[in-house]
Amino acid sequence: MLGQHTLKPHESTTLVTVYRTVNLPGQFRKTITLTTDVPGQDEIELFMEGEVKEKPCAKIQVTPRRFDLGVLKPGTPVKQTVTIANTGTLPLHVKKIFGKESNKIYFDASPAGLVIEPGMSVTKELTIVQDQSGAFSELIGIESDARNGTRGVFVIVASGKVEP
Amino acid sequence: MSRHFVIALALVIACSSMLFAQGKGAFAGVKACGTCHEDLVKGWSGTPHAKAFESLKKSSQQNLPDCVKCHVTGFEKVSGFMDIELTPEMAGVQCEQCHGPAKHHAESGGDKTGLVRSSGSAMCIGCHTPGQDKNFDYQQKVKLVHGSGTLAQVTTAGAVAAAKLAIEPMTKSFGVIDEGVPAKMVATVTNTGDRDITITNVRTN
Repeated sequence: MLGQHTLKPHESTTLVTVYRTVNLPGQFRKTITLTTDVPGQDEIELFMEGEVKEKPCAKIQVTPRRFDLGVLKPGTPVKQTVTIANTGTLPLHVKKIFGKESNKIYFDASPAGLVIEPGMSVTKELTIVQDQSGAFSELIGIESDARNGTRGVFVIVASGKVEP
Repeated sequence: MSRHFVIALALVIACSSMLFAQGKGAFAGVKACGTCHEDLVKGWSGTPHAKAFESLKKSSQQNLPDCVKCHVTGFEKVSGFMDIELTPEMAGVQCEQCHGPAKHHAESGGDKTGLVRSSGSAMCIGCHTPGQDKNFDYQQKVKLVHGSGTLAQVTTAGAVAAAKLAIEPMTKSFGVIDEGVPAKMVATVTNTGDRDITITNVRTN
């Protein structure tokens, strides 16, 4: 916010800039660029820099994130185990595991939810069934309160090929 | 309806079905593009589009979906960018963000079905909004998208500017601050010249 836009000779004003740090942990370097009406004058740049310390949160890590199920028969279930770990500092609440495109439910933890304490992990067995022939790539979303999920969903990928 | 037309229509439907089965147009990634379009990819690699995700990381915005979508290729689409750990190969604004998913094109030896030759300004202004890129000029910038030159850079304050406007401080270091605490910078701007100066625009990155 600029106190006044036009300055007479030797006149001063204040420029107040606020960088809101919510959801922006990590290093930052912000540039404030001023343009004036002085002919031929370059733009003027000011800088704000520092590091935002992340607030306590749950973080999800899933192993493996990609897995190839190989060749499947249509309609025949295949099992895959994944390990869900909480690498954050608050308990992780997993709500469900689902197909992002197919909307299949692989695991539903409602109503209680699956809670993983910080530093702990659980294994989950996913049963995957594909009906259509050909190569597939299923995006499997894990809905939780983990900070590192995109809009609350952390994605893993199952791929393979269905042959009759 | 002629027999030829029916056959042609059937072929179109069959080809469309094949494409659909392959993932509604899956992404191949810029490495695949570079196999045949080496010069274009080499030129692109020096542009801000190629470094778009890196620029986001510099401002710690790499986990904000509304920011990420404009700094990657195929955000949240099958075989597109999900996050930097899962799909690092799709970081940056690559060829397919403008020309469309090209896995089929790459694997078929060049079939251009479904590709977009020129996406037009509508695609660009989805991200180069007035708020993000006030002076965006599609006609000028589109010439540089494959790197045949250097995109206009913001120039920093020089001696001429310093002689007219004095600003203190020019840089403020905050050290380590807790998330949620706003970082506030108060700078004093003084006209040290001998004529009125109007600050016409103030913007932040």
